[in-house]
Amino acid sequence: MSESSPFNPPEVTDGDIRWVSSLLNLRSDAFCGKDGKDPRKTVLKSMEPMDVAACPGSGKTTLLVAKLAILAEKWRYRTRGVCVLSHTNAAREEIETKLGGTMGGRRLLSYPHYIGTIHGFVNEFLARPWLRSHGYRVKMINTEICLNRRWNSLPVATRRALETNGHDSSILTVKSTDFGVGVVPWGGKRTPLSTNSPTYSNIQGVCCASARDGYFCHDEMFVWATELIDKAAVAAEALRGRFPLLFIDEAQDNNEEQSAILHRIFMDGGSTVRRQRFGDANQAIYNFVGDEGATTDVFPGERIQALPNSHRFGQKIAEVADPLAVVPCGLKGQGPKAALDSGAQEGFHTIFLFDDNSIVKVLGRYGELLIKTFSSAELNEGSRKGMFVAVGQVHKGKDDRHMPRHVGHYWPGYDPELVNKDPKPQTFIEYVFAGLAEAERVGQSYPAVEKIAEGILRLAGMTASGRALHDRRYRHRYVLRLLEGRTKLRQRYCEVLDRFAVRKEPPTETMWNGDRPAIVKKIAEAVVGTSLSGDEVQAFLAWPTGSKNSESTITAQKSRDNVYRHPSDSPRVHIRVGSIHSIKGQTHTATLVLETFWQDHNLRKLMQWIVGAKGEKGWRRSDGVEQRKRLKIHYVAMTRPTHLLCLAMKRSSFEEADGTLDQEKVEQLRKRRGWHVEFV
Amino acid sequence: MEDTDFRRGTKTATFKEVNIVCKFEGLTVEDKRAFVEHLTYGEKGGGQEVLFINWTAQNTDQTFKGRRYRRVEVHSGNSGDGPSIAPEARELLRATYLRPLRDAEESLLAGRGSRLAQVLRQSNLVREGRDAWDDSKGLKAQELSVLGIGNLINDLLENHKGVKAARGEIDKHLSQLAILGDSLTSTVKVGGATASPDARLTELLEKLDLRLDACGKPGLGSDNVLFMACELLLLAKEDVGSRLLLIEEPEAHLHPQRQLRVMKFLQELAEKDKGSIQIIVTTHSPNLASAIKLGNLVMMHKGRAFSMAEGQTELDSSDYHFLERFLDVTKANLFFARGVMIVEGDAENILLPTLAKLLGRDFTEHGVSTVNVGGVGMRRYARIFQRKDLQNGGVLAVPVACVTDMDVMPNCAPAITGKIKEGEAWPDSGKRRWLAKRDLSNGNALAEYREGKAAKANGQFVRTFVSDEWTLEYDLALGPKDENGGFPAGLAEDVFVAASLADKDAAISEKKKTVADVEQEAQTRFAALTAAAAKKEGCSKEEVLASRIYAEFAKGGVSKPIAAQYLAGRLQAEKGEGKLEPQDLRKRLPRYILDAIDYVTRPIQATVREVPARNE
Repeated sequence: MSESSPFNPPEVTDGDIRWVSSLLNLRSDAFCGKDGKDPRKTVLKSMEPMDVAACPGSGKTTLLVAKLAILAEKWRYRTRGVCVLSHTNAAREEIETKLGGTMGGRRLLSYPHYIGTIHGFVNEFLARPWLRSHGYRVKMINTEICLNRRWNSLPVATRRALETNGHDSSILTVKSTDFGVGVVPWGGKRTPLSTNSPTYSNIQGVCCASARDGYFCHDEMFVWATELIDKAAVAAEALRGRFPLLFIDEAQDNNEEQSAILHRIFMDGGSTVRRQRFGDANQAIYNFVGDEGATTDVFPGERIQALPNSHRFGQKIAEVADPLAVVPCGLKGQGPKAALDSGAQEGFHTIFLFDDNSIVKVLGRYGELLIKTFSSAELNEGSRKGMFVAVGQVHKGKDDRHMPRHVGHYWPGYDPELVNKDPKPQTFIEYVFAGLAEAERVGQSYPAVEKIAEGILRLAGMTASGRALHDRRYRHRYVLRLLEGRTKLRQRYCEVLDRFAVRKEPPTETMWNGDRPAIVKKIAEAVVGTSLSGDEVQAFLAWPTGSKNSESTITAQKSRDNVYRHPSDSPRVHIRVGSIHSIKGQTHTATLVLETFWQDHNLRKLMQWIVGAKGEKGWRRSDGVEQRKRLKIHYVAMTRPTHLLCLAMKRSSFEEADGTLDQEKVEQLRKRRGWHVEFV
Repeated sequence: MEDTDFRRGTKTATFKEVNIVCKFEGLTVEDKRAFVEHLTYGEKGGGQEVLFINWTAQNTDQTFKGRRYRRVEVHSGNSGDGPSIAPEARELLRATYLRPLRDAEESLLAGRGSRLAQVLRQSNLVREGRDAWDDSKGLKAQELSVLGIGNLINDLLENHKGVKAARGEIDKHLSQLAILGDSLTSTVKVGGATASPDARLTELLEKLDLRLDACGKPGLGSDNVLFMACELLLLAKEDVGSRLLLIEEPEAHLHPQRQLRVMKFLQELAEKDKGSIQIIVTTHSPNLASAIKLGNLVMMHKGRAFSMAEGQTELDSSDYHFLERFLDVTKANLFFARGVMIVEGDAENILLPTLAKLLGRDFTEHGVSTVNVGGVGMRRYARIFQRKDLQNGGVLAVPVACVTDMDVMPNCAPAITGKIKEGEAWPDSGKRRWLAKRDLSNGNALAEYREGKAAKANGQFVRTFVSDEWTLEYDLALGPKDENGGFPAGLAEDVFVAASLADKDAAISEKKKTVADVEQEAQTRFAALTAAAAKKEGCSKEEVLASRIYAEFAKGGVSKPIAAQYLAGRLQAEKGEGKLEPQDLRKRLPRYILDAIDYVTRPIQATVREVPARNE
């Protein structure tokens, strides 16, 4: 296996598959199936380009981890590696937990391999080297901080003019390598602002200046990466040589920009790499408006290997969910892994029909059903055995027409703001709280220490002329290093950690208003080696204000967690309430899908797919793109549960024009798809 | 890292950081892909990608467990702003380093981590053969692998009669110690026999010594060569990464012919398969330096490296061609000198060091080498020291003096030295091979002629010193011109006596004459010559006398080098008698000789100031 000869992928044998099954504590036939015909085996063995269309619960990530484990064990190249790209660090974390204990696993996490996000990859291999070659020292890639700096350094008049024309700091995102920000709609007719105008050159000026200072937005890195690919063909060549095997996880979530750049790096023209994409186009739902998926190199492509077998749920859920797939894959329910304590395989999948008056009772009735279906051991949240969820496509809004519009209409106590999974803290105190919350969750003080160190580094980065602070994996260690020789401040830093992370004292406003901000500032100054001042610094060190961040709501946040408890006086079941977008990738014990309103009532619009009256299956062009989006979102929701799937729909959806119930329609729900129907 | 690796300032405290930046150019496809995240691209994307490795060691003044803690970081990027380089990637850059005066013998002996074992492990042949033996076959017919031999020996050992018997004894004692019901028995196993096959193979190979097939203990030098061969073999097997071999002072313990052999071998190896192996050798041996092609040399001077590659120096390709042929061991001294005196012939080669010493400017003490080019290519040697790109490469601040003859005779000389007959008209200048002052009497023609000669090798730290009048011997005899235009102080008598001695050298060697006799005669003749000297053709008495003395060489065929030897001897003797103090000699020597000697021997400090500041 010579480094200079062409790449020759390792061969995966049946023995390797048995080995990896036992490594991952799985049954020896976990990837081959009892009859040895499981398509997972094909996926593990093949090193040819392919797209794996994996249904919900098909164990896609486990399959990928298994494949990587085998590759790691057999990998002999020293200048070539495996590249695994995804949108989150989930794959990396999965490998850390599952393979971190093995030599091969640890090797996989380091040179010459790369496992991480697409953004991280583009930064590390293209944008940063290119910027570095041009004398830009990348100090921080953070959209929010960067945009703020730019906005604040604009002349006041320019800022006013932008505001008058309906723009805010987000307009200051660089779109081209001359630091242009693309089209800026201007004036009453919203015609593009001339790029020769003083306003436009001011904008370009601040963008250029912030780049010289080392501040960049996340999305801008694609601009620089693309310039490198345009100008130096060697970059893509070298990357193809380095990563002859490419895996892309959650490929359905690639947006056009990501898909296009990956295509150019790895696939365009001759000598492409061996690429295997994993994902499920049926679950492609996006978190941002306008983020509509890729048109270049669409997933799945031509060589598709389907994994229709779900180990998550049984055949009944598979049957009701499959029609909602945009391209139904013939979902097969081979789960769930364990029967219920009651001995039944699964619960009674129920559709709750409600009217405007009974809408607030829906969650309670769902709770009752859960109590009936699951044993108290299964319901007990502390044991983390069961996960009970109620979700809707729309989870916030102010409009009250067309009830129910959003999740809040089912439960007035629901707070959509709590859903934001990991909001970027705005102040040092918020870093402390975020750290404490995470520490509580995992039962270790380590996350709190890291979060506090991150806060210190963020503060230290708020200097125009300071030296670059690389974003490190181990921030606490990094801070300690930077404080070497500053015995006193190092001591102070450790005291801060001791108070918040070790003794777990949540900060109070009174305590914070002493000299503590000054101490934290001194620590950060020692870290960066220059003094810190300015509004940004002041604001970061202030006690958080505003409804969301005041002391009372911070404490309230701990109890207000969007968990619906039933019954309320002595809760027996805890139901997590939220949006469908927030539960992507999760597995639940039971899921209730709530009717919400997006252009129309969503479940009502999906009636044909739910009832199956016309045998509706999949999506046709004539259904419209809104309907496709609706299908995908509800397909995600309906494929989460292992044991119980419920829907909550308006009774009126099943009524005739005169207000009487269409009995036949309700009967169809029962007969065709085996739904139980309950009136609320 | 040691404390002493950090530079100690004279006034300030010791420096806290050591920073080394390496730039790798001409990367291969494999290099580019291995370091793709670390590459530095050309300004516009086109052109060469390079790899900068920034190595930084910091003295933290902290101690961990009693040891000084020094942080070492390796980052990419010109200013170290790239990511840190993963250990696995750094491994690709690892070079093989052979320490100076290493104990080669020890490295070749058996033992843990022996280089021989590592080399052998690379070979698949040691794995060939069977790992298990066949009882039905004879011992030699087993065709066992190395591991198989180990297995067989282990088995033989474990089942040896004596070993088994001893085990039986031990078991007997054990059974007496055992409590009822417990049965204690022992087994005897060869240590390490249960280790992995790979570990056992290594252990077996480490039992081997590498020795030269000769009687007795080989010399250190031979071991050295053997060791180098071993390292090169290992390096050549390396499939990936830097194949860089660093050898310090390979001349250690090797006799000169062996040195040349080793050097030639290394050079050929490095030139084979263009760049597949790079070898960097440091040396203080002119012998080695002369064996290396000039273009492959790098001179280290005052902390900077000066590559002698084509394009880096003012030498053109014909110069390289010439120098590769003629730059032999006697001239290779120039690479190590602090000052270089380049002379055209043996006479200068003999006289100048002596004169310098008599002037209190001993060449040896000043680190000055004299290079005798034997009449050809003087300027080519000088250009070795002239740099092409001063802006980026800096100047090579080694003073180089080229000493050459003016070769324009006084007008009286053609007749005196027999170029023409007395009173005869001179042939046209185009039809003769000599020049006299009369030929260059128009305006500044003489001065221009001199300048033209000097300009051929002048610039940077190279200067040409042209004789004041005609040739070395003539100028020595004539001495420097005084303020009145006269030549009152020359070494005329000494030169004449030396010429006479040289003329009678054979007779002196054969003991037919004594030096004293010849000197006596010479002095008598010199007195007569002086008395007879009279102004002629516009030449002064002194010029006529010096011309007559020079005629001894030009017409009389006296050997210049032998005369130079006698002259050197005479002057040294005079110095010994206290008759020739440096200040006296200074007044009597031609100006150009004094200037040349002063130039190459001027105090070192003066040259440092002329180094331009390094461009950042």
